[in-house]
Amino acid sequence: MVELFWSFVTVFNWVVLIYFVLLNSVYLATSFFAFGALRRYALRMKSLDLDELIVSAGAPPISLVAPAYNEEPTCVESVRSLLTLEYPEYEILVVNDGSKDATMDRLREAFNLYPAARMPTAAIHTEAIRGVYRSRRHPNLWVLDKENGGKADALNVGINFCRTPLFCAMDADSLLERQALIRIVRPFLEDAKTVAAGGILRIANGCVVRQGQVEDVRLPKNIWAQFQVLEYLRAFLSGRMGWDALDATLVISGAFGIFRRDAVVEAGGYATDTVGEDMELVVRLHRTLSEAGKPYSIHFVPDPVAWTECPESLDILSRQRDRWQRGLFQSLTRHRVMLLNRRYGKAGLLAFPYFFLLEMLGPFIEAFGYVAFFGALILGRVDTPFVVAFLGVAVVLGVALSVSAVALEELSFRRYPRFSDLVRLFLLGIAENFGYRQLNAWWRFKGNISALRGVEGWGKMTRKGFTLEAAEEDDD
Amino acid sequence: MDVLGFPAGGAVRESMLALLIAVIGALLLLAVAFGLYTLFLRFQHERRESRWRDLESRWQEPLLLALADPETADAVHDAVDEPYRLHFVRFCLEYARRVRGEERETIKRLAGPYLEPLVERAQHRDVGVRTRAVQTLGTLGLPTYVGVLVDALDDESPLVAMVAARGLAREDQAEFAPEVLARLGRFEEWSRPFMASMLANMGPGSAPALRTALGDGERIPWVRAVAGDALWILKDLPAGDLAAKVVELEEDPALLASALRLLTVVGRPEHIDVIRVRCASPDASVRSYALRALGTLAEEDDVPRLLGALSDPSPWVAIHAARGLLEAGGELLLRDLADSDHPRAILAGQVLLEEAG
Repeated sequence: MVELFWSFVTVFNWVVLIYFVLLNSVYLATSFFAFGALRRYALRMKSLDLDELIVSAGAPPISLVAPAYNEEPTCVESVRSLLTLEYPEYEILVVNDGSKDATMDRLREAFNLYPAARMPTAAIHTEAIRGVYRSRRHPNLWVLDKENGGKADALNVGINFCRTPLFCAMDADSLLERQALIRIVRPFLEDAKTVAAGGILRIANGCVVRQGQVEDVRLPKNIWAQFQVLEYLRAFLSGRMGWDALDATLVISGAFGIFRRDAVVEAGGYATDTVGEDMELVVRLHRTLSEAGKPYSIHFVPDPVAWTECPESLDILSRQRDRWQRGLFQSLTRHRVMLLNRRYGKAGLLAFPYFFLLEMLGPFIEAFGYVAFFGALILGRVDTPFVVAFLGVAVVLGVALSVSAVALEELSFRRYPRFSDLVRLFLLGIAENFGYRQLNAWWRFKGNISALRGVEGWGKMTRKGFTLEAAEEDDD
Repeated sequence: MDVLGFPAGGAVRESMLALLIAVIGALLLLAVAFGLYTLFLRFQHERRESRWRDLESRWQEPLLLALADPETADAVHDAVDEPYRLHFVRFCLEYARRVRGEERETIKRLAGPYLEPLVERAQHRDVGVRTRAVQTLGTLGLPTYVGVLVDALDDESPLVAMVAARGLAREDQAEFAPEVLARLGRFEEWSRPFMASMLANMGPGSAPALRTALGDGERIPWVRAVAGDALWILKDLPAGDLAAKVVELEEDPALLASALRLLTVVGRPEHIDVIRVRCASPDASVRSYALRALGTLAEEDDVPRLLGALSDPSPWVAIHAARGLLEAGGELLLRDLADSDHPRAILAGQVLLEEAG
C-alpha cells in the first residue's frame, strides 16, 4: 500500500515537473515574441501620424458603452473624462444598470438630460429599458436607464442601441487616455478583417489624476498594489503581446476593448450567465467566425491605455482573482470543443490548450504539488538538495520573467519615469516569489472550486476612487 | 525519497541535479542580462532625450524666425552642424506635421539641402529605415523626390508601400492620384473608408482619376468602391452618370452601395429609375443606400415606397428610409408616425430629433 502511494507521488512529481516546464516555456516564448512584436509596433507607430489620423474622415465612428452600477460618487467625473477623448466621431452610451443609489440623478443634473427617441438597431435579449436620455450640453452623450441585470446585460443594451460600426466596451470607472481610441482603432484601419482589439490596462493607484487624466505615473505605496503593477506589465506586455504576435489573442479585458458591432450581434452579444463575459465573448467570436468560415482577426494593441484602480486589500484581491478564475473556467469549459481542434486555427491549437491545460487546470496541479511537498516534508521523505534546486529554478525563472516585462516596458513605453520606480519593480520581481505567487495560486485554486460548485455573482468590490487618490497625492 | 522514480544517489538523479543547477545559472544570467538591458535602455533614452533637447533649443528660435521671415533661413543652416543633419531633418519633420500651407513650404525648403542621404536609405534592407526615409521624403521632399515615393509604392513591405501612398496622397497633390490608384489593389486589407478618405484628401483635382477607377470594369470591385467612396466625399457632380451606370449594371453589393451613396449627393432626376430598382435588393446595405438616394430625388409616387420601407426587417434599412422620407419632404408623415403606435414610431421620433439637431 505504502509502495503504491509512493509510486503515485512519483508519477505526480512528473506531472508537476512537466507542467512547470511547459508553463514557463510558454511564458519565456511569449516574452521573446513580445520583444520582436513591440519593436515592430514602435516602428508602425512612428510611421502612422496620429495627428493626421485624428482629423481623418476615414476613422470609423465609435460608441463607448460604459455600464454603471451604483457609481454615484464617480459617474460624473468619469463621463467628463470620456467627453475629452480625442477622436473625430464618437458617442458615449452610459448604461445605468438599475443603480440603487443616485447615479441617474447625478447624471441627469450634471449633463442636463432629457428623454429622447432612439431606436435599437439589434435585438439581443436584455432586462427592460426604463428610459433613453440625451444630454442637452453634449449631443454625443446618451444615458440608457434599465432594470438591473449585471454588467453583461448592460453591455448588451449598449450594443442594441449602438449605431456605429464599432463599439468600445469599458468599465465606467476606468480612465481612458485621451488618445486611447485613436490608437486602439489602428488595427481596424490596417486590417479590414479585424473584429476586436484590446488595449492595455494599467494600475492608477498611486498616480496623480487630474480632470479625469493620469498626469503623473508613480508606483503605488500599497505593497499588494505594487505587486499588481508588475503582474499587469507581465500579463499585458509579455503575455498578450506575445500571443498577439502568434495571432492567437484569446482574451480582451472587459475594462477596455473595441469590437465590430455586427460581428458581436451575430455572435449573440455578451453571455449573461458567466462572470467572465469578456473572455467568453472573445472565445465565442473565435468559435463562431471559424465555424462560419469567415476570415477574421483579433488583436491586442499595447499602447492605448485604460487606467484602472486595483484592490489594495487581500480580501478584495482574493475575491477578484476568484472571479477571474471562475470566468476563465466557465469560458473554457463552455467552448471545450475548441481544445486542440484544427478547425479553430491557432486559437484552437495554441492559445486554447495553453489556457485550458496550464491556466485553468494549473492551479489544481500547483496546489496538489504543494500538498505532496509538505506531506513528504512531514514524513521526512524529501530529497533536500533536489527540492532546493527545483525551488531555485522556479524563483530565478520568476525573476527573469518579471525583469523581462520591465525591460519590455522600458523598451516601449517607459511609463515609470522615476529611476527609483524602476529599481522597485526589479525588487518586486524577486519579492513576489515569496508569498504573493503562492497566494495567487491559492486564490486561483479556490476560483476553480467555486466554478465547480456553481458559485455565481461578482463578490463585493470596494474602490477608493481616483479623485480621492489624486487629492491625497496633491496634498503631499 | 526517490526523486521522480530515480534512486537516491544514482547517476540519473545526480545528472538531473546538475542539470537543475545549470538551469539556475543560465536563468540567473538571463535575469541579470534583462536587468542590465533595462538599465542600458534607461540611460540610452535619457542621453538621447538630453541631446535632443539641446538640439531643439538650438534650432527652435531660428526656425520660428524663418517661419515669420523666410529671408532669415541662413541662420537656421548655420546652426545645423554636419553630424546632426539628419537630426535636423527629424526636427523639421515633427514641425511640418503641425503646420500647413506656406509654413510647411518654408520648412520643406529648410530641410531640402539635407534630404539626399534619405534616397539611399529608402533602399535600405531594414524595413524600419526604409519606412522612415519614405515617410520623411513624403512630408518634406516633394516634388523633388517623387520618383522615390512612386518606386516605394511597389516596395515588398506593405508598410513602406502604405507610407509612400500616404505621402503622395496629400492635400493639393492630385497629380499623384493615378500613381496611387494604379496600386490601390495592394491595400485591399486596409479599411475602405480609410483609403477613400486618404484619396479624397488630394482634393477635387483627383476626381478624373477616381472616376476612371470607378468606371473601370477591369479593376476589382473593392478598388472601384473605394473610388466611389472618395468621389462621395468630394461630392463630385460629374460622377453622377457614371454612378448610375454602375448601379444599373453591376452586382457586387459593396460596389453598388458605394455608387448609390454617391448618388445621394450627386444624383439627378434621370437616375431615379435605376435607383428604384435597387430599393428591392436582397442586400440590406444596397437597399439602405438606394432608399436614401431615392429620398433625395423622390417624386410624389415614391413616398409610399419610402413609407413602406420603414417596416423593413433590417433596422438599418428602416433608418435610411426614414431619413430618405424626411429628405423627400415627408416631415408631417413622420410626425404623425412618431405620435402613433406604429412599430417604428421611435425611429420617426429619432429622425425628427436628428433633423432638429
